[in-house]
Amino acid sequence: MADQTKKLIMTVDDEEDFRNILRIKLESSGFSVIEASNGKEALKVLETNQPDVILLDMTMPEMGGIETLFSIKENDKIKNIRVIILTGKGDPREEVININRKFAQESGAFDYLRKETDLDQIVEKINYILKEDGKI
Amino acid sequence: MEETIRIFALSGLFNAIIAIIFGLIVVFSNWKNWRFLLITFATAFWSFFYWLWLSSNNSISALFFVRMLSIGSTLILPTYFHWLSSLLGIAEKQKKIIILAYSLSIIFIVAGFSPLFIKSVKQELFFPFWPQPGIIYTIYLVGYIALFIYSIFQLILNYRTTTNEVLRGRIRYILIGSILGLGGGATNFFLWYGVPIPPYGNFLVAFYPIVFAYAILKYQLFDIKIILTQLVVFMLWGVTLVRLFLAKTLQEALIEGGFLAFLVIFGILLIRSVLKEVEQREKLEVLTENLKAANERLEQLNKLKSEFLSFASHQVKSPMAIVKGYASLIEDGTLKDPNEIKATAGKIKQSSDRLIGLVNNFLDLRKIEEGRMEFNFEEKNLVEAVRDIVEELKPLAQKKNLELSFKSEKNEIKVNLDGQKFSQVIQNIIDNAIKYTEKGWVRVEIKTQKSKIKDAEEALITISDSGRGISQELLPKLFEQFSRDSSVKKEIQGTGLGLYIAKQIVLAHKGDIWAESEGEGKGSRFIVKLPIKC
Repeated sequence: MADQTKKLIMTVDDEEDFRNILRIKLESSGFSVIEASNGKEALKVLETNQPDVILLDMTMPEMGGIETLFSIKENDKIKNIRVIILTGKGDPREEVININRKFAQESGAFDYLRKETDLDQIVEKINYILKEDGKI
Repeated sequence: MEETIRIFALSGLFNAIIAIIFGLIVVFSNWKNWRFLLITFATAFWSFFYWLWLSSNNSISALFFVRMLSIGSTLILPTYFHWLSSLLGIAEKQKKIIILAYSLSIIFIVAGFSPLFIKSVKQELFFPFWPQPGIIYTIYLVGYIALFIYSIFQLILNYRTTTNEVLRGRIRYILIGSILGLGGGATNFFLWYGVPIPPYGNFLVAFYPIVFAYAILKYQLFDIKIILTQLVVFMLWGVTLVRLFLAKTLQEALIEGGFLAFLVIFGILLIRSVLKEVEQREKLEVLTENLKAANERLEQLNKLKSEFLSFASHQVKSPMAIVKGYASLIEDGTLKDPNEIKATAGKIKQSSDRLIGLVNNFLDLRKIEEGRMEFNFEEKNLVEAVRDIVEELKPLAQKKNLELSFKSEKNEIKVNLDGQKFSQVIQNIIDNAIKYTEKGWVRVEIKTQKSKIKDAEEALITISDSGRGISQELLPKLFEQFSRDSSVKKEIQGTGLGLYIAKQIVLAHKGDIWAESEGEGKGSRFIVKLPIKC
């Protein structure tokens, strides 16, 4: 089980390799990691776990990222968990990313990052959130 | 009363002349319109004898002329329907009806001089020699009405279904011409059966050659200049010809004859020069149209290309992100253990392989879409080709503890194959079968059976597995391009292009490919059918 002193990060992605990469990086950065391969599974895991940050993919089978985000924000018990959208799809141009980021933030996500973002930047973003929340 | 009859008689002469003139104009404009000449000739024939019949002063000549005019009238509807069908592009479909109509006409013409068709002539209203119908005439009348209604029905039907605006415009005119002209001509039938309505509609008959000609020419980019030139020239010829016949002395006849010869030569030259001028303009218009079409095609290609580019870059991004992710784990020192690094390098290699596969698929797809995928067909032994692939894939199956077996009815089945592309198809399907089967078996079997084509045989290659199966919803969409269907896209790994490409390759081999599955969790069967070379 997760180490109580470590902060818990949840990754939701249908791509096993990508979950793997995030897990290795996050664990080596001192976090505990739990995983889900789609939105439905994620909601189930969230019934018994309270991660500090969720990294959420957009396009997944069964239940996609946006739908999952809405479900999280509607559930009083978990609606305060910070969510970072992490997507590989969509137009990579800066102006399009900005529009998508705005939409994601209006829907309740903390931020919107692309999968090709450097892993260090993702870790930095998580640390930034945890600091802001006074958790570290 | 005699004056009234003369007016009716003249309507016949007038109709005959108009029909001939417009028939010639249309055919002169384009010989492809020869069918139109048939209607106008039938109409002219009928109208000409109509004039002679109403001008007769005794019952014997009246009966003769009315029988002659019937030859023309029985041909009007068949020629009309014949022309109409070819104009609507349904001539092939309506062939039987066209042949039937002509055959009936011939029967009516043969029967035309017997009392079964026309019994006699007698006084009706103010017409002294109106014909009395025999039994065959009544059959003819029923046929006339039936074919007329059927023609109108076809016109309306095609008006509704066609998307061709030119054809729609033509149909509108033809409908008006048909109802006015042919309907007008049909008013002659009343007196035959003792209904005291004079054939007033006969004055409308001239409408249909004019309206039909207009319908053809208007949309043929044909110039009014040509029509007018021809009209004037033909009229001059006609007048001079009449004057030649009316000449009282040889000298007068020679003068008129010389003048006619001059008019014929002059007229032909005049028409030719006008035709040439208009033809050149038409050519220019066609060129412009072609250029426009080429431009549209280019724009479409361009759109297809950018759609493809966006689709391809989406597909490529995911494995790229994985390659980058693993590589940076090694680079930034997160992974230190040499064994871990080695395993990760293996994963990078896997993702790179996936990328290469994707790119190959895209290249194939583009070749297919642009119709330039080339095949090198050779006579090959199908059994050997498939067995080789199965052998190659055995290690992959063993890794997953799956039993991969091969069985064939015969040792040699000769087929025409592009060895490389066909192997790609079979390998892809067996690969998938292994990928989607957690435990159990994958079986490859070749059988032969009689083909639907006489004396031919076909080979069936069946690849079945005990894997996860295919949902009923997905089955029919399996061989489509998933790039266009998001509902299926998420159920399928990879591009979802493999089976689409496989199908195109099998189709190019004149074969077929399909999948069967009892449902999810119940395994699946892929069947490839190929014609056997005898």
